[in-house]
Amino acid sequence: MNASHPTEGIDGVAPAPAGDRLASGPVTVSDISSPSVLQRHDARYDPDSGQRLPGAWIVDIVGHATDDVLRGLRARGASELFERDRTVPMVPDRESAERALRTLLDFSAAREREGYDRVVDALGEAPALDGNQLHQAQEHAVRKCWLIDHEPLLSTEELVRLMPDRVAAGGNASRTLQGLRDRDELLGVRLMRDWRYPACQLDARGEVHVALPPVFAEARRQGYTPWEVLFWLAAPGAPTSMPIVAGRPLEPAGESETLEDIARRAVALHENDPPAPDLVRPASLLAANETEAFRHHAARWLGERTSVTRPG
Amino acid sequence: MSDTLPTRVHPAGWTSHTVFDTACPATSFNPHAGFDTADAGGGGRFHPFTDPAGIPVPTRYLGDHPIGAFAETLMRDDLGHRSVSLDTIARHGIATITFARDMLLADLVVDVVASPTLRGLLRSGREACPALRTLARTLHERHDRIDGLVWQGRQLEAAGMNGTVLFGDRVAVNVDLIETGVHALDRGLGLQLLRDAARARRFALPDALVLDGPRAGLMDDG
Repeated sequence: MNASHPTEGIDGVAPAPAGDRLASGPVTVSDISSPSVLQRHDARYDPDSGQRLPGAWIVDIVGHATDDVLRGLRARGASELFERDRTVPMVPDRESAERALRTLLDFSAAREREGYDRVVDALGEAPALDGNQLHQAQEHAVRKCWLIDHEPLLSTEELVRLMPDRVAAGGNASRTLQGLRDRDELLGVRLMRDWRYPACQLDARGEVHVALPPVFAEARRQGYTPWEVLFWLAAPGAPTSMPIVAGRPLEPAGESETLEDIARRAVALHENDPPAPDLVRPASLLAANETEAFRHHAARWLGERTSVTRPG
Repeated sequence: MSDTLPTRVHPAGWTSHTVFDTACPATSFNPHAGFDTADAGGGGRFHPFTDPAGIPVPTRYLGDHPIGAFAETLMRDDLGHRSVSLDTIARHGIATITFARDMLLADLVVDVVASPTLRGLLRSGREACPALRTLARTLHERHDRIDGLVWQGRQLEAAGMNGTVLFGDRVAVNVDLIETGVHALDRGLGLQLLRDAARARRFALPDALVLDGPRAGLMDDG
């Protein structure tokens, strides 16, 4: 047998460095994962005769347990395997091997407890959302999906091509765009790790519409996120300027007239009224050059007293 | 009064909930004077309409339940969008109103068999509002003893959860109505009620009012 064979100690052929070392105190990860220990697992056969070495079963057990521990698993079954193989002739340093195993199992249990502790800590620190907040999270997610599906969002490169006079291509483009965003002169939304720029904020010249920066600034001041600003801008919500139809008088039609009769006559009276006003996207108001209507709608959203009502 | 008009009485001590503009008391009535005709959000289910002299009849909408109070004001189906802005939330509150006297109400809580047309109007969106305003005006003109209307509209969507509209020319402010509790909508109980209603009505609230403390920013990508 090769004198340097790693199983020497376990078989008692030579001093048992592994068992002694493992049994001498709590083992550390670096101890277990050291190349010399790992190599030992593959050395269960005599390299000359090809025969399985006496005591190789202990190497198997320790090896399996070590592998489990290194994978972050509990070394389950190792002790059972140990017991089952009692029929194998005892080796002189079995006690050392048991201690080594126990150390490994203790280490495994400690790792397991540590894992549980980490999970418990993480759960304790995780945001606890109630049903209302979950509903709102869902609403916001649905809106974001709608925007991604329906609203053209330009990449940084595409925007730079559209705004060559304001943003020079190259290394400074990101910094320039960040400056524009920070000054509320450009609306950008984060999509994963990238910035995207809604096309609807641009006019025919490729510039951000002049009426928008005050809206962006006031919306940010009030606490709206860029995605919320974009949803307001892009989703239908602004009523057109059709007058409200007020209630009209119905002539009496006899004492026996019922509620249902009145309802029928009211419906008939309004049958030829113009339909209820459609809702339009604020961005469409800008595109149609209806800037005052846009400002009116922005003021309804952000408050009548905000600067968005001032002609820009 | 015609015998054909079904009525019900909400007795003195009856409590309801109302969402109101904090610029005015919760027991006040919206005068609807000079409302913006370009603003579809300015008209509602049973307003505006005028009395025989052509004067707009002030109204106050109430709900049996806080969610109903939101459903008839900030979270109506006929608004065309399902959001409430931060500014609107900051300017409104929710109050509990107690009736100081019996209120006689035209009873529009009807079943579909007896009144299919009226039932259909009450369960429709904003396209039904002109006809319902005419109905309100007609009942107001013909029945000078009624203080308002009570109905179960589609916005409430829960049995026994009714809405009430009171006529401001029949009900005395601060005499017939007593304000017994007021909450701002951007904090505390008012915010909780707002969140409850938004969930029930499937409305979105501004992100800034949904998450707070360590939860803030949960919905951000960055």
